[in-house]
Parts: sequence; structure tokens; C-alpha cells
Amino acid sequence: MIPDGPPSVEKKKTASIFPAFGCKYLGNERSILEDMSPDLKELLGRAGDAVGLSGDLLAGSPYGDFSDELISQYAVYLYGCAVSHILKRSGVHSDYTAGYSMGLYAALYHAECITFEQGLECIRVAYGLIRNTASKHDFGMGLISGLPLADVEELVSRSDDLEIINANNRHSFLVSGYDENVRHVLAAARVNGALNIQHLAFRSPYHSRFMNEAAARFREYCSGIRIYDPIYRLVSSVDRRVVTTGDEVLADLADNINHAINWHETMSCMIAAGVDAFIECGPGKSLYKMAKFIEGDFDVYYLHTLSSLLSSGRSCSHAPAFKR
Amino acid sequence: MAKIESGTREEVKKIVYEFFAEECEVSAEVLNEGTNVIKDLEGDSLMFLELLEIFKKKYGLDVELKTVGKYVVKHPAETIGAIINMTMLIIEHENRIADIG
Repeated sequence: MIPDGPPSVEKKKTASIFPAFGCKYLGNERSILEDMSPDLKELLGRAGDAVGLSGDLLAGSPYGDFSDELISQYAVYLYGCAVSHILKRSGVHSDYTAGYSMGLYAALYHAECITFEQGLECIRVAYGLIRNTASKHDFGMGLISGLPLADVEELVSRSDDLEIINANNRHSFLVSGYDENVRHVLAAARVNGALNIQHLAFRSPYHSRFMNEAAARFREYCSGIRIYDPIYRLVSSVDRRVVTTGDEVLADLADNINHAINWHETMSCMIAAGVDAFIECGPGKSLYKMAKFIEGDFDVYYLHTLSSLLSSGRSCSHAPAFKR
Repeated sequence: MAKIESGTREEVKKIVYEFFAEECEVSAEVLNEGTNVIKDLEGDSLMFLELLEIFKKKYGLDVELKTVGKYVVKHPAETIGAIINMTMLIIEHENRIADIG
């Protein structure tokens, strides 16, 4: 349950970070959140009204193995927003916030740039535009772990149409492009000593230049919605700048579609700014795991450890929100 | 090259068991050398990377991850027992593990 009483004041900085779909669930996210507050249930009702997401759909895939990618995106957004509510109810101030890939939408909700329903609609529209563009070719994505960045860059440079679209940490990189070439580079990485390669189930080359058309259309769509200035310092995973205005949010939303992100640098940027407690707001613990190979003295809390964090007051602060 | 002492294997075994118990949120008592890290514990390659870094630091090993990766391609290690055996080889041979057929 959410602890009673005001949280203790801590000067250390806290960041709320939001995972993307595709993360592996722990399996009991729903019960953990429902035990903590009525927020998940309330948001699920709103998601049902807005996009038809139902409790039955969530219950059918407790481990997040949804057959429909769009439902998977809605679900991770929903969980992220529910955790956001709990943090705010508990008085946890986020000095910084950031979203991993489409985790951006929940980060924007957390930073009060968009409403819950606008976030769902952004996901729906972006997904449609991305699929429309991606369906013209056979695209793919892959994960390479255990090779230095220079080696991955060299392998990727052998194909004109392959891109490194994210550095998760110092050991793990995502590549995207034509599926045939993704498979080739994964095989080459294995031969060159990658400890793990994984051909991902995603059929869209997220964060690559192949998404330029989708990004342009998404920007057009987003320019028609009211986006508020973030109440927290929002760190762009595209270029690591601190986004402070609605206009900058709009640019980041579009860039997030067709530009490579760098989660390693995004985390490093917040660590350098004094963050020593990250709260992973969403299902699973993918960001917690990635952070094990990111340098710095910090902790990452995820859903299983959130209660202990809240009851300790460790990350709670009353530092003022970013002043515009 | 780290010196293999009489207690090194037991030390490695203890670290490996404690590591997977904590990472996979299971009791160390349910683990044995035949436990498959991927299938039984739903572990992943990042766990192995982390374990490798623990041993690199503990024993001051001079070994590149990609050298280990090349060895793993030829000698996959998915069970706790196989991981302990491979760790002993890495401690003993470091980068020369690539020369082992």
C-alpha cells in the first residue's frame, strides 16, 4: 500500500524512466499495481473507452507476450502511466524523466505534456504510419550483445541500408534495416564473438531513416494536438538535450520515429546531472538489466522493488519542478 | 593468468549459485549443476556478461568478451555446471581460451 504521511526530504536526484513494448514482463504486474492503488483499474477503464483495451486482453498475456504489437504498446503505456500516478500520489518528485523508444509517450504523460488519451492516440497513429511505411519492404531488427561498439559499427558499415538504432549500454546494440541484411549482420556478429545475437520479432525498422515518411506525417499529426511544457526535465533519448517546451516535445516526438536513440548516453546524461535513483515505470525490469552495464553509482528500482523504495522515502524529494 | 588454487572451483561455484539465485529470484537450494539457465530460470545472455565481469574483476583477468564469445559458439554453456566449467577455463587460460579446440 502507499505509505501514509509526507515523504522524507532527500537532496539526491531521482529520475523516472519508461520502458518500451517488447520488454519481458514479470507476470504479476497487474496484481502488484492493483494492490498499491486503484490507478491501473481506472486507467484501464479509460483505455477501454479510448482504444478498446480490455482487462481480458491484459489477463490473457500476463507475461506481455501479446500477439498484436499495437496492444503490446498500449499495455506498456498503461502500466507506465499507472506507476506515474502512484509516484505522484506518494510524493515522489522526478528531477528527470526519459522514455526508452516508445516509452516516450508515458514519459510525456508523466511530465504532463499530454493527456492519457492523447498518449494512446499518439501510439495508435504512430503505429499505423510506421506499419504503412514498413509494409512496403521486408524489414527487421536485431540485437547484438558482447561486442564492442567499434566492432558492431564495422559490421554494420558493410551494408548501406543497415543502421545501429540504439546503444542499450556498453555491451548491447540494436540494429535495423532490411531483414536479409539484419540476419547477415547477426550471423557475422556471432562469428566475430558476440555472446548473444537475437533476431527480434519486430517487422518495423523503428528509429531508422526508413521511417522518414512516417515521421513527417506523425509530426503533422502531433502539431494538431495541444502539447504542454514538461513539468519535469525530460531528457531526449535522440540527442540527450533537456526538453523544456511543448515545441521541443513536438520535435522529439517526430524525431523519435526516424532517428537512432542512445539509451546508454541518455542514462549517462542523467547520472552526470546527479541522478542516483532511477525508477523503472512499467512492466518487467528491462531497463534495470540494461543499466547493469552503464557506468556510475546509482540504483534502479523496478515494480518488484517499488514498494520498498516508497516506504523508505529514499527517493522522495520536494525539490521544485522545473521552472519554465 | 590467474593462479588456480585448491579452493578456486568452490569459490567460483558459490559465486555462480548466489548470482543466479539472486538474479532469477529463486532459492539457491533449487539450483544444481544441471539447471539450464535459459530454459529453467528464464535467464539471458546479459546475465552471463555480468557474471563474466564479476570474475574479470575478482581475479584480475585479461580476457576480451569477444574471445569468450568465440569460444561459446563452439562450446555452448547453458547449464550452471557448464558455466562453472567454462569459468574455470577462462580463469586458467584468459584470452588463450580461444586456442582451446
